[in-house]
Amino acid sequence: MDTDHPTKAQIDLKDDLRLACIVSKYEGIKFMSGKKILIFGILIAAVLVLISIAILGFGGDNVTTEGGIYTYISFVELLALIGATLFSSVTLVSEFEERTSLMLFTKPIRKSSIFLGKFAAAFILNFVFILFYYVVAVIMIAIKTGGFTDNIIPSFGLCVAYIFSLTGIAIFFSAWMKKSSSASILTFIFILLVPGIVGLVIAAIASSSGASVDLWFILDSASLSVVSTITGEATNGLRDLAVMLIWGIIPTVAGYYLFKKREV
Amino acid sequence: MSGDPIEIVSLRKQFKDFVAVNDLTFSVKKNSFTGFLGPNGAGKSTTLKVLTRLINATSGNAYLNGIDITVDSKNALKGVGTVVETPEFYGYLTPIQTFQYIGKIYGMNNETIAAQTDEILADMKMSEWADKKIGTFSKGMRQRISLGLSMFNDPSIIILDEPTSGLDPRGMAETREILKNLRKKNNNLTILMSSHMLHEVSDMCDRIAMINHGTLLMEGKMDDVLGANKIRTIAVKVVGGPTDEAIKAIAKLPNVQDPQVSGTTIKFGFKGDDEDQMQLFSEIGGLGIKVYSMNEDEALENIYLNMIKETK
Repeated sequence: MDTDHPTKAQIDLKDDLRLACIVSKYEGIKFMSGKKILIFGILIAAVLVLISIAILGFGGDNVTTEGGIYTYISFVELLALIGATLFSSVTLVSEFEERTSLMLFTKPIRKSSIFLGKFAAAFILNFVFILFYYVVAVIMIAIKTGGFTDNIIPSFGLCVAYIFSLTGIAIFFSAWMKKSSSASILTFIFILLVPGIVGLVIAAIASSSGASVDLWFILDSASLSVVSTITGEATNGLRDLAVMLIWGIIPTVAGYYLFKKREV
Repeated sequence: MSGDPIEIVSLRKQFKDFVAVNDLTFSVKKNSFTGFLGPNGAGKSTTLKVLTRLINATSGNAYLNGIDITVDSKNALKGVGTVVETPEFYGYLTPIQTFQYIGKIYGMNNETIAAQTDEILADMKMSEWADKKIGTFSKGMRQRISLGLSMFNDPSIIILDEPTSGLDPRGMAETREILKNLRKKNNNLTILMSSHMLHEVSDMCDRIAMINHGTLLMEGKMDDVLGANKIRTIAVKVVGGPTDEAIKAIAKLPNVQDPQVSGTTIKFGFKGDDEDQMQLFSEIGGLGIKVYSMNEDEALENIYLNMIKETK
């Protein structure tokens, strides 16, 4: 058997990935040409400036490397959530709402390529902003203390997993909702409130029966490791990583199913 | 399978309790320009949306160039241009960028994309807008871009769902002109177009298919359809309204059937060809009636209305 030639399935997969990259590129152009990216950029810059003023300007000599980085990174979850709300939650629904689906969906491209391309664009954009935030935070603390903590690397890795989970949840609502505004609001409220409320309910039920329960499987609990890793408090980084990935994978799969079935 | 470029086999689409397309089977002949007719809710748009992968069929098959779109939509849509209603474009892209995006999806190289984009935009009279953002364009301009995109990558099939819908008269005329020119330029092209406008269909199409309640009423060559219904409807308008004498005089003329009065107009059936009709008009002119208008009602409209009436 000649193994040098790719099979039809391999050629198809390669072409589907090529198409996903094209969709991703043009989705990126869409984000770049919109106002949301400017708003998000200004927000991130404002947070960085304010924290930097507080630490570099008024921190005195008491600022430690871990403490300073901790202060910066304690805002990263909220920023990532805002990023997911602004970009990921609108990426699919806008095709239906703005009727551009009438053009794109009638072209020879699988819906899986469209979905993957849009997911990737929204994820990468949020990733780049958060990477920038981490880099600036590290530079600022290096300027202040002259130090660097290795803990920033696992923290960033966990944060990437958190961005993945946020993107998954946001894209689920984007595939489900009829309007971008509904998808954005639901994404924000769901991530901000629902896991916490579910955790409280579970804890209350457990407490009423005299038991205590570890809420490690709740997204809020797992994402705390993004910050706690900085000070070395997180002891279950791999478990938290897995929880966040699962919180991303399940809604992504559900979102893909909804998107594939959705009609124009 | 028939080997026709578009073939629909036992297609069914059900929305909850409503059956929009009911066991529809028909095919579109190669290199034909087929008008797809039917009243509102007949299932035209639903059928075309299944053919263009915008909605999923409940059951049945729809083949484009022999590939079932319900099974392999990506490959089925290769070589197919589409205009479904008035699609929106990404407002932040220019026509050139939009053609680049779609060209890349087709797998075209940059040189081919650039060459075809220039040619199509020139044909669409959109060259001077090539680098302006589409978000600023009127509906008519967007429809021209849409038609241009449907011709991109030299498709063998074009599917049009009410391409002139919502356009002003000028936009409609421009769209029709573009489609006529397209037919002149490319003989190896199969076009399926739904429309409410019967004169548009009779003017541009060489075949027609009519559906109602999601089922096919008839399909065939335009000439055959019109020829099979040789009785024409003639309308004669009389100053002050027709008198009994005038009606009787017209009724006595050869091949005239069942004259009816409607306001100032006498309408009647007439069996004959163009020569016979010319002779009829001449004879009516000689009757001494104060006629100020004589014309043949839209033949296709009569056939259409009769067929729709029969299926009510």
